[in-house]
Amino acid sequence: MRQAREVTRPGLDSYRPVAGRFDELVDERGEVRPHWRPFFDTWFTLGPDEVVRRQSVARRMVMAERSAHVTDSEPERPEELDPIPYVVSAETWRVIDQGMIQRSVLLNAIVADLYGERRLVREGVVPASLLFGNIAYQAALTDGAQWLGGGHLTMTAADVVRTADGEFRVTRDVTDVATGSGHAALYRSVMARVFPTATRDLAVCSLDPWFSSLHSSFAHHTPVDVQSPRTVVLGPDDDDDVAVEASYLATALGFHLADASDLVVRSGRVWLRALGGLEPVNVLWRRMPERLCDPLELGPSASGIPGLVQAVCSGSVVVSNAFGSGLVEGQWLHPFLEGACDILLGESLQLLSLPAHWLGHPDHRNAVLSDLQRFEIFDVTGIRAPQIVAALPEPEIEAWIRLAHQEPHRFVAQRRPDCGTTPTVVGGVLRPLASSLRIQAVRTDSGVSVLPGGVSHQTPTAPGGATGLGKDVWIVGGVVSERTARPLPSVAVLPQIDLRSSLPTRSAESLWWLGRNAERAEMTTRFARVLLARNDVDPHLACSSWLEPVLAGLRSVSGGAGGDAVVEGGRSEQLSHEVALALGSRPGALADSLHYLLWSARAARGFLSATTWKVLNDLACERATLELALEKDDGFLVSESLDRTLVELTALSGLGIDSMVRGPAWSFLNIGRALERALQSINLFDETLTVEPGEAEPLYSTLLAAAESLVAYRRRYRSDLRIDSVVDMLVRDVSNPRSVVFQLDRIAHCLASLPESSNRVGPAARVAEIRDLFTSADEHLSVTFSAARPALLQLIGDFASTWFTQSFTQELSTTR
Amino acid sequence: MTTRYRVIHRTEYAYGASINSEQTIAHLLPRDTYVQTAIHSEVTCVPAPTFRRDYLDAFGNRTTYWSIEEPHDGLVVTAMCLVDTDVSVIPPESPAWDDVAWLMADEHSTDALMAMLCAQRSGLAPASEVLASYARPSFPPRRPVYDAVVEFCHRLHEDITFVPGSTDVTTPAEEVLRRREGVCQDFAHLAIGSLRSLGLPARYVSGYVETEAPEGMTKMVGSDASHAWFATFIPGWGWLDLDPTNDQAPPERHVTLAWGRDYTDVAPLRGVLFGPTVEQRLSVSVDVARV
Repeated sequence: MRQAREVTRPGLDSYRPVAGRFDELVDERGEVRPHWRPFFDTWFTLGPDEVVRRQSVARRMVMAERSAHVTDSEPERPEELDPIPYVVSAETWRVIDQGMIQRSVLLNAIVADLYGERRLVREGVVPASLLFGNIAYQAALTDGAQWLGGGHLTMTAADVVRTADGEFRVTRDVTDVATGSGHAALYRSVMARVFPTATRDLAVCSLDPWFSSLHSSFAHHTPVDVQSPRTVVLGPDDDDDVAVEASYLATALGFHLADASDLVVRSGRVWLRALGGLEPVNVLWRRMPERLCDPLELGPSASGIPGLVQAVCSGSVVVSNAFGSGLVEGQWLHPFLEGACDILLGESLQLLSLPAHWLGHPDHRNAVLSDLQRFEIFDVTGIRAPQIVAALPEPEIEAWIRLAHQEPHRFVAQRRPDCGTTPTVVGGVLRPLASSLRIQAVRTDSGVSVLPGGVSHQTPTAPGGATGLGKDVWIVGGVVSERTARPLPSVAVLPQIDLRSSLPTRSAESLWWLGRNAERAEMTTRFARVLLARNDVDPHLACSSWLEPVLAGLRSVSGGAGGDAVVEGGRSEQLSHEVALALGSRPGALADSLHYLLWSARAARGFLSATTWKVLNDLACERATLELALEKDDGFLVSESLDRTLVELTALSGLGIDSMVRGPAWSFLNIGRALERALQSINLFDETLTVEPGEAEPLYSTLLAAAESLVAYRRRYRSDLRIDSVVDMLVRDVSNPRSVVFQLDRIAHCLASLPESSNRVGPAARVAEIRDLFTSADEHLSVTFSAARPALLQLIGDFASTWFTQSFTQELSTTR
Repeated sequence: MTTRYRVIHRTEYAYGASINSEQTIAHLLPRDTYVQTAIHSEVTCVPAPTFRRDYLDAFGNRTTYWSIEEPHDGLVVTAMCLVDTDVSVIPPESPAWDDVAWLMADEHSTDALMAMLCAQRSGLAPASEVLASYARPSFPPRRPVYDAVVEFCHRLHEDITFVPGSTDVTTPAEEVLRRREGVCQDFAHLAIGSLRSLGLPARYVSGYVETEAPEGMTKMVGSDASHAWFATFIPGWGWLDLDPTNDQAPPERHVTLAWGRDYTDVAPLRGVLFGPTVEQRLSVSVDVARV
């Protein structure tokens, strides 16, 4: 007797597969497929509320990860993670696994052939016009063997859908920059936290062994004569999703993430701009499309690394995927893959593509033109974007048909798939959404290894409606293959170049800015907090005569110097208005500092711990909260938000002291902090300590409190607040970590710890000069300040010219 | 009959300011062809390169890459070569132009593969209906391709006026056709684009022509600088060079440097400069003499 319990479960009984499509969850008799049952057993013990809660947890975690890796804080509608995985049985996956291995080998052979011997063209398998007219064909890449070097298609990916007959079909090959594995790792880590027991109880195939083979594939690429290689991940310029991945993978695998401006070709080699000069790069893991990589030879590009192709040719660097890999991306080869597989591998193709036709063939052209609505049309020249021609307005369809008769050789038509569906949570209810799987493969010296899992992308089966949803792919019910089940036999992974003593200049500058912005944010926060607190307890504050210098000081540390804020109304309004401005987003104010703080942190992410990222994420949230509180003009919310912001900023500072390895990176972070604190203190004290105050006591106590030195002052002097003692405490005291001189000593100390190769002498001499200003002469304070300020600005200039300009002031290049 | 030429090609750039470094790709050394043998050739530059690499590019052209990695405010490149050239031959017979496309697809030689590459549009020599209409009168159905292209080359020579400085390297072929004036590379790009618009293969050839005319001959146009012309593929026979600027098919008194899909593939000097943006002032001198 058939058990009816599966179909009567809440949620599942309303799940209706779409007619004419393969559904992953429910078979044609309406029963849940056996390999899904264990998952839903877990699922139903949670209850609907818990499911919704976990869905939102998953979303927050994905967003948090994204925000740690991309600079744009508001990405446009990123894919959300569906809490239900795409469950595949190991038995079914074996078909994909074997097919994908063959496909990776085949595409590799095709790239080598099309840039080399061109048997496929000579023997009439691949039409010459389709190859030579292809926008992805790089004529500069000559002899396949030479260009592909040891690199080949290290990583390939394919989008696969299930057709109505239950067969898997490839819709697209991804070979230029094979993306998706980073999201797979990210989604799995989130799912493992959202369903902590399920992945274990269901014995979901682990992704880890695959990532270790990915890691070892880079060891395999390393030029033989290099003892301590450096592998660098070259991130993309603009693409958000790819940037998230590049960053995630670089961090996970322990490689340095660079962008094109960090790298330079000299003497036919690739170098990373680092603090001690240029450091050689041996392996470049490219996450930037090849056409953008070298403006000298791969096409006009505002970015890229001129001479990179020459460096590859000279054999000093391995680029992976090799240049030329992009040629076999997409769909244009699909009509010829079976023939190519036969000729190049002597095998029949296992994992087939969706039916595709080259319009250069008259029969195929006629077949496609007579049934246009079933096809998507791809133009290999890149002039026309991929499109479903039948969906265009009538005149455009006619124009296209004329073009297809005139230049048929440009076009490949792919049959539009009726994608199989998977259960997906939409508005709290399970719905069958069309699924497309992204499969990953990596070549190592012991063969091709396919990621046992990945991501799938879900879209509504009917047009319009919700955006896409991502899924983690779970393989259950056994081992796919020995290869993916255990780590590879240990390939000797050479130690990467010692990063303790090496710091790329762009990272150094980012850390320096991180320090400066953190310090500025902290000063503004403390100052505003003290003022607001006094305002709360002292109803006459707004009328006090000492308030004017204090507000001038507040302006000076929050980017408002020079402009007097004019506000209608009384002094009380002016106070709250000034505070709001200091906390807002004008350049130099709190929200602005926090923005740049987060921005520089992302650029230096490789140097920051996971805990640091938690703090930074909280800071990002607090920034939004504060903005809202200011908008509502709610003093209570503002104070509360400032308290939390200060706690986070202090935590950040503590983490810097407590959990960062002492080295050049730490030094630059601290120099940035000390420099900013010195500069802002001078700005502040110049407004407040050099004038004759109407009321000394409240002014000095506010300053001391804002510098966290009030308690120390009282303990030390046990007297009234006297100007000499206050200046001593806040400016000249060598033991007060908030004093100006203390900052200068801190900078000197950090500079001394930098490697000797780093040109530290000039800046160190400048610091000593500034310190002398404070300790030697008995000048009036304002004289000292007016000498020290330009000297400090000059020191900042020294830093830029000594270490930073190479990378940040992007070298202008002229082409001819 | 073999003629020996000595070519001295000097290019001088003045940047007007100091730049930090530069990388250059040069196509300044002559390749061997069916009618040409390079006896000696060299390319040198001042300041001396920090790094240099000589190799054959995708089209088999002799290519030099170098980088200069110290501050400098100008560059002088001197290319010198001695080449022996024989008189070109013309095909005894040629297939109908409308059969060329399928004949070359059927011929599996390396030359035919190159022809199929050169039948595709490229950046400076695209295909279009305008260019096809311009070429069509020379290509009635079944006309032998040799006769057709020679006549077309002649017509182009008559239609377009050689005006130095009237265009730059980025002027598109259709624009040249509209203005009816240009320099040698415009003649070449217009011819190449027109042939491609009819589905015929055409490639860009860069080189030189003899500077001083021997007695009894006329001085060639384009002799004061590097020169350019085009070639088309005749199935079963090979590549035929045509110089529309001088109305010669095949060209005489020419030295071939390199060939490609258009100017971009074989520019004599192409590079990237690092440093402040500079205004480059260029002066070129070419001397091609019989020795």
